[in-house]
Amino acid sequence: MNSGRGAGMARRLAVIGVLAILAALVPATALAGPSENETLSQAAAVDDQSSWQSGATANAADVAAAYPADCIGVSDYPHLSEHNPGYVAAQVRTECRVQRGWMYARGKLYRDRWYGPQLLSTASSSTKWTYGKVRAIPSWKCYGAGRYTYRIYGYHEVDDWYKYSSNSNTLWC
Amino acid sequence: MKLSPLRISLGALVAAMAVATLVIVPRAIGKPPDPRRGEHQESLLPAMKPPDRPPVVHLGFTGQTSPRQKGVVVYYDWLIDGRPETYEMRPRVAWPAMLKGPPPLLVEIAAQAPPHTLEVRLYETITASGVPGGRAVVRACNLGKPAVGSCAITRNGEVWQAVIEGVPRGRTYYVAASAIWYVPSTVPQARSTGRSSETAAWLFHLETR
Repeated sequence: MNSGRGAGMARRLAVIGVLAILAALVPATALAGPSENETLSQAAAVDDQSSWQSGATANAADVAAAYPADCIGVSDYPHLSEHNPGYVAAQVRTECRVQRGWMYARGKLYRDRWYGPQLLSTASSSTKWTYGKVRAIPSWKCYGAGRYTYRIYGYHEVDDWYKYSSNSNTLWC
Repeated sequence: MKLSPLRISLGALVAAMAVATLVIVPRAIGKPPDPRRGEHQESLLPAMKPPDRPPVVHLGFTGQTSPRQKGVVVYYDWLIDGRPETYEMRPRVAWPAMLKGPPPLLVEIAAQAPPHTLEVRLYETITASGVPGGRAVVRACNLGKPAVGSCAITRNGEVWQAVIEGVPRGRTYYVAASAIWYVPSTVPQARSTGRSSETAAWLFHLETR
C-alpha cells in the first residue's frame, strides 16, 4: 500500500515536472498580454522598448485582443550596398509569424552633419493579408562623400499598431 | 530485474529534468547578438501632429532671470504649406551674437508636439566659412526617461524643454541643436502626402561663465 501511494506521488511529481517544462518551452511572447501602457493609444513615451503602440480607435478590449506579440519591427545597420556599388543602404523590417491584415515598413536614411541629421532617402513597403516580412531599403549615392555616420529610422505598422526602431553605422564611401 | 512504478516515475522525472537542462538552458542563453541586425528599439511616442513649420527654438541658461537666445535656422526638411521644402544655410554659416551665462543650458522649443529626438552639438572653434572645425560634444535628448548620459525632453507650459548638464564654465561654444518630429500615419498630413518626419536645426553662440 505504501509503495503504491509512493508510486502515485512520484507519477504526479513527474507529470508536474513535464508540464512545467512544456510551459517553459512555449515562447513567452505567445503568452504575454499587453501591458497597461501598451493599450493606451495616446500614451506618453514609456520605457518598454519592445512594445507596439496602438493607433486604433477601437475599444481597449478589441485592441488588446489584436496585440501583435508575434511581430517585430527593427532597423538593420546602414552598410555599403553590394547590389549598387557606391551607395549606402539600410533595411527596415516588419516581420510577423501570424497572417496579418496589414504590414508596413518605412525607413528614413540620414547622415550626421555638423548641425545634426540630414535626410537622404526614404523608402516604404506594405502588404495585406500575408505572412512573413515586409522590407523597406532606402539608399543614397555616397560615392566620394568620405566618412560619415549614417542613421536609419524605422517606422513599423501591423494592423492598427505601430512602433519605431533605429540603427547607425559609420562608413567610408 | 523488474523496476517498481516508483523507480520508473522517478526515472521519468530525472529524464524530464535532463531534457529541460538540454533544451531550456540553451534557449535562455540564446545566440550572441548579430551586430549587423537591429536590436535597438526606441520608446513609444504620443501620436501628435508636428508643427506646420520649423518652430522657434531658444537656448539659454536654467536660471529664472537668465537671458535667452533665439536660434537661427541652419537646416530644415519640412512640409510647408503642403510642399516639401529643404533648406541648408550655405556657403557661409552666420552665427548669432554671443550670449553669456552660467550653465547648465536650457533648450526651449515652442511647439505643441514634442520632437522625437533633440541633439545638441557644442563646438569650440569654427573655420573661416563659419562651419565648426573640431569635434563636437554631443548631448542627445529623448522623450520620457532618458538613457544614461542623455537628457529628457519635458513639457513646461507652452514649450518643451531640455536641460543640458555637464557643460564646463569659462568657455565659448558654437551650438547646433537639431530635432526630428515623426508624423504619425494617422494624421491627414501623412495620409495625403506620405510625409513621415520633419527635421530642422538651429544655431546658437554662447559663453559659459
